[in-house]
Amino acid sequence: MNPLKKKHSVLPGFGLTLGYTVFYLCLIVLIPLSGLVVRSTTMTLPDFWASVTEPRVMASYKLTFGASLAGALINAVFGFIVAWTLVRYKFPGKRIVDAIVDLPFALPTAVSGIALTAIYSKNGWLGQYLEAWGIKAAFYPLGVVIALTFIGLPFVVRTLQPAIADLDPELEEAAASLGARRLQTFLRVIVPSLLPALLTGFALSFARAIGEYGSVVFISGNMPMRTEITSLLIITKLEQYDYAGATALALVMLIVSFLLLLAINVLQWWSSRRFHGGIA
Amino acid sequence: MASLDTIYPAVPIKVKAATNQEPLWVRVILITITLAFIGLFLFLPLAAILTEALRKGLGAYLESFRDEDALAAIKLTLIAAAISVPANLVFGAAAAWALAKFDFRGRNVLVTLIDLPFAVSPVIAGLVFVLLFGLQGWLGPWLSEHDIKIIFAVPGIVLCTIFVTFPFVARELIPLMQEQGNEEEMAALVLGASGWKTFWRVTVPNVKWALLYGVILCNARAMGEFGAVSVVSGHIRGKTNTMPLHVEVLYNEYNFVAAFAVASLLAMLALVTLALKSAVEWRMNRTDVDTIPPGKE
Amino acid sequence: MSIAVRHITKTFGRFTALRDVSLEVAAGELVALLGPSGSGKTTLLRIISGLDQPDPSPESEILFHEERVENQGVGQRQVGFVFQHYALFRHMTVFENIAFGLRVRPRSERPGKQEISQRVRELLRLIQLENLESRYPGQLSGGQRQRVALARALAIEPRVLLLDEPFGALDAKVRQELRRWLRRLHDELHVTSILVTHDQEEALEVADRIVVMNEGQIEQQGTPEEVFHQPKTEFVINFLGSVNLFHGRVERDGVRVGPLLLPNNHMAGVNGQVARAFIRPYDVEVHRDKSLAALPARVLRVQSAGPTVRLELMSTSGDSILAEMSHDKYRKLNVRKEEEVFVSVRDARTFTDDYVI
Repeated sequence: MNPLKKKHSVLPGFGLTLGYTVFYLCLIVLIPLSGLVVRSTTMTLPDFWASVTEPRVMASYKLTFGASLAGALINAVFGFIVAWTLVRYKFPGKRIVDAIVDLPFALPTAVSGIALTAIYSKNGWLGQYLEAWGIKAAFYPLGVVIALTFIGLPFVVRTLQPAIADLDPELEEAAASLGARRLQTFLRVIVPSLLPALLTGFALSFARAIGEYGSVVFISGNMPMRTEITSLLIITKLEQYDYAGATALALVMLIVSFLLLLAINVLQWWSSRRFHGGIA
Repeated sequence: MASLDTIYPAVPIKVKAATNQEPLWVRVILITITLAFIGLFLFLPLAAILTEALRKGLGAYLESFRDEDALAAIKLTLIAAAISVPANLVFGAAAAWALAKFDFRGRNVLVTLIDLPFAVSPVIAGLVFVLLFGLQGWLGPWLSEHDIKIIFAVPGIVLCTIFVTFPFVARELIPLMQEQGNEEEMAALVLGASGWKTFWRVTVPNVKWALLYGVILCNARAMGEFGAVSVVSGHIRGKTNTMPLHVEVLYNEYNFVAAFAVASLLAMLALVTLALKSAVEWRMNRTDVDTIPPGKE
Repeated sequence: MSIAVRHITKTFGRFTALRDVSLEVAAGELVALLGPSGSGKTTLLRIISGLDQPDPSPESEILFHEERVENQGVGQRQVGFVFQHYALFRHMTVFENIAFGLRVRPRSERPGKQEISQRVRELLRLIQLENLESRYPGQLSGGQRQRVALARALAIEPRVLLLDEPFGALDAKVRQELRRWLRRLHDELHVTSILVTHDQEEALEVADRIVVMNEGQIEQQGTPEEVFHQPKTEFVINFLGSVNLFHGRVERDGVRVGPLLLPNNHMAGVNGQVARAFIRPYDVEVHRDKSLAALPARVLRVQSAGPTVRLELMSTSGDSILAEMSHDKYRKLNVRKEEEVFVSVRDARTFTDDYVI
């Protein structure tokens, strides 16, 4: 009768809560998302392919994935340093820094977008200096990278922090007692132990960046072929009543997101297997 | 005592600190990088918002909130949050009860599906509702026949907000309730408490901080969501603009002071969220410390 | 309040936790369910409490005082259940924990505030924690938590008290104190109680009657003396205390192990059949004089720290033998490591294959 067969438990309320959970999940998430998939099947494959590979779309992929990758890499490096100093060192203002790391989560993306634009535009606080050096940030691909770095930072820091805190100090002591210098200990013992967490944080940051919209649209300038991200292109197509095109593009992005989600789950599974496997 | 000191010099402690600690100059450099990076990327934007909002003085700043459209945007944002947060709170509690307190086939699949909205780009979240309820959508013709407006109206905005904030409460509660196990609930049942009383008197007090944490994050996202609602709102001033959308409209009209003024309200909300979040995290860690069983291990 | 369970079977997927188990507990009795982990003892306890349901079967019955309770929910059976890890409500004080069962009663049955408070104070006195009533569980030691858990179970005036490895999570010294205290408490209150444990010492010390369980079935039940001195199966003799195992063959008037002829107490098996003899270390006698009916052996190790002296021996045929004796006897024997001795057996339990399974 019920495919979700449960083991007996005296706790009441299983049927009611599970029923509501499945109902609500279907209503809000699954049915709308499957609508997208069904809708895209109304296109023929050649049409679909043509629509998701036209030059303007290809340019948007290049910018979206390129800038997301750059942002995630910057975050992997600096996020590591931030997480390391927050866990291992004491310094004035540490608590505030720790709390503010989540700002990109908490700040509405549109607000981040206009704030970053104000800073990096030609006569902004930083933009004017960059301009003097001949570097253009706002309304150029660099601006997109800046925005995507901003919104991806907490993912790397928050994934690494618990992993660094969980590092067994005896490991480092053992390495030191075996004659390793600090740098060797760091590269050979610490970094490999943190690699799964670092990769997970990197992947989460990358995944978030790919779907990002609000913080980018203000700073990017939205020039077709040059500074137009894929999310914006979906909206543009929708506003031009090109529903099929928008749907096709959305499906591509959805599949990419799911693949990334899968990769992240595999990463987490791998790290838990690798480090906690033998212990029953 | 002097002889003791010579037998047990304080050296071992120093040696230990040295093996696990980078040299001072490395630490100074790393801390400097951290402060510079966080300052540049996180503090600077906050400062920029306030500066831009107050560029033409406090009067102009306050004037921005006199605008009827701004007030309507604030009101709509509050409505969207007031519906979506309780809806997802009830869902989160129900899902956590079913998924954390019971074991059944398909459980892990459901846990993954609940996280799905986080993996979906906000723009796509908006798009799916347009495809469902828009004029060109599945239910569009039927809805327009019956004069029901969802897309480019408040219901669509609320739906999108519920979608993007869907997992927040559930994902805080499920791991915690699973970790806490069923023993306290069983004990309550054996003592004669009903299921409902067990839930309210035993389960809820045990997860109250995580619950609050989830609600805080859910609320912040609900009030701040931009991409998804931007797709379904239609940007009708005074009617279907939430605060983030209103910021965009003002900004695109080059009304920077007003845009940053509304943005500053949202930034304030973000800061309050962060402060509450830190406070709740601190409380949660404290309860953790309290409940380390001395008898175990 | 007597308890009876009849023909109870319980499976979890492919694993059978209980196979057609029947058990009677007389009113006021304290019974220990003793067995290794996975033997089904906790499952049986949980089925009696109503926390688990047996597999449906027309023959299965659970009776409290001759009244069937299968259809009563866990909250209606009025049992006191003490969990292994206490399961105290961590957000409630000691007082609130103990009062919980009374406070959640429907309004019509709920005692007044005064009455609840009085009852809780009585129980606090009983568990000797009167001054800790406003502490939270996190601020108590393991032993104190378990006493609170017991008081909480007693607060609802349970018809039966069920204890699931109540001292399992405590360290050895606290465990000993608590089990003596539990025995005294039982003598005072006379609530029918079932205690689940895997610790034979605990069962032997506390219980009126011991039910030894293995692989979902009852191996033997009886007084502690009976199960210890007259174990009916190889499992029981192995599980209760250390034991030497010898392999021999059945002869007309006993079981032959080398030069030793052991009494065949079950008179089972045919001549020449393989038999196993179990001998408690204190039934092994060690001599210095050679005799025909004794097994020559070498002393490997002497362990004399403790109430008795234990000798580890190795027979010439390569079997290791454990012997236990008083310090007095050991002094008279006067053997040292590596010396040759001769072993005879005072008493043994013998089993042949047709007896097992």
